[in-house]
Amino acid sequence: MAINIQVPTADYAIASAPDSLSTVGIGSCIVICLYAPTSKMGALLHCMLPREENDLSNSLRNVDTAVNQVVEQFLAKNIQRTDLIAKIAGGAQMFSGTEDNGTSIGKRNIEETKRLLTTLKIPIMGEEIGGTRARSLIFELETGKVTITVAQLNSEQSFDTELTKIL
Amino acid sequence: METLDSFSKDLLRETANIMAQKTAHPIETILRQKTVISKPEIMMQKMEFVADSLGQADEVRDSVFIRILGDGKGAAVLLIKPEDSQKLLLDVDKAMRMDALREIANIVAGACLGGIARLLSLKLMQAVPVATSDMSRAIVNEIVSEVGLTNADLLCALINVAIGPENIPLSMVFIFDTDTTNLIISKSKDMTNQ
Repeated sequence: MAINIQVPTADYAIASAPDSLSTVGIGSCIVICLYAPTSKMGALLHCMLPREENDLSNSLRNVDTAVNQVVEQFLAKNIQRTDLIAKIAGGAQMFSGTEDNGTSIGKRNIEETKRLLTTLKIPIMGEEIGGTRARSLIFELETGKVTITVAQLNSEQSFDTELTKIL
Repeated sequence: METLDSFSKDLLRETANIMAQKTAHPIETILRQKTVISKPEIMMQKMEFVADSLGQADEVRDSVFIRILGDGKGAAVLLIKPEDSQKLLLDVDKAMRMDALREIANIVAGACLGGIARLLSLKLMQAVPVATSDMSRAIVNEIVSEVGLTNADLLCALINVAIGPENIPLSMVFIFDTDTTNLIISKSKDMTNQ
């Protein structure tokens, strides 16, 4: 029976088809979906910060340390980096005017993710990044499909519709 | 932060109590409604756990974020359900609702920060408030990412407010980084020694 695994902030999960992975409330955080199409195994990482600059109590908080840790996990399961593809989402700026030195946390998360995946030679096959709204995401490991929903404000300034994008 | 002694925790609780006391008057003045302030909650959390510890992280909130600058680094955050802000600001045009919330948060944060700044001889300033309406987890995570960029240990003081005859709930959260928390403790200890 397929199960859905919810991944909290600053954490990750690895699973195989027919299971799926999901996470909610992605704002400036970045979510990286790594997928090995041949084995239908995938990982979902929900990272808060670009690089390891703060305390070392949770290496999954940061893009650089989290991705490297998950790639090691794949290697332990005999899946090489060259077997992986990536889809990324998040990196929004929820509040305007919160940039530090002109760059928001969200933008820095996107830049570090792209830099690292390029270095690791893991191709980014889809992205839904930037903007100003929170996203939620489900990653189906049977197909590698990533479905992202963004709540939309109506003219009454209430949330009543959802925009869906599939990567 | 988890290793704070009980005396330091008491000092932080007292700081939060002072901020809570400063919260009621500006809200009552602006909204002309009776306001009840709950006993503030003090939490010391790693940044990734703050959103969940504030509750209802998957629900939508109208929110205002004010960066705290000066001798300390942190954030003041107002959180309220959109339907409650509509009830609270019935007389305000819908398009102006977020502006009104920004103003409320600005005045409340000013009163609270001014109160502890005067007491502890600190210089605390606040940046221009910014507002949005979206999922609470996404909002809070962006704020704690800003505050906890170099140290993930954060002090959160949660002040719950009930406004008017309907007891409309509103939360003010003050988040401070590790250095500011230690500074508040140090200044409080200096004051109690005098």
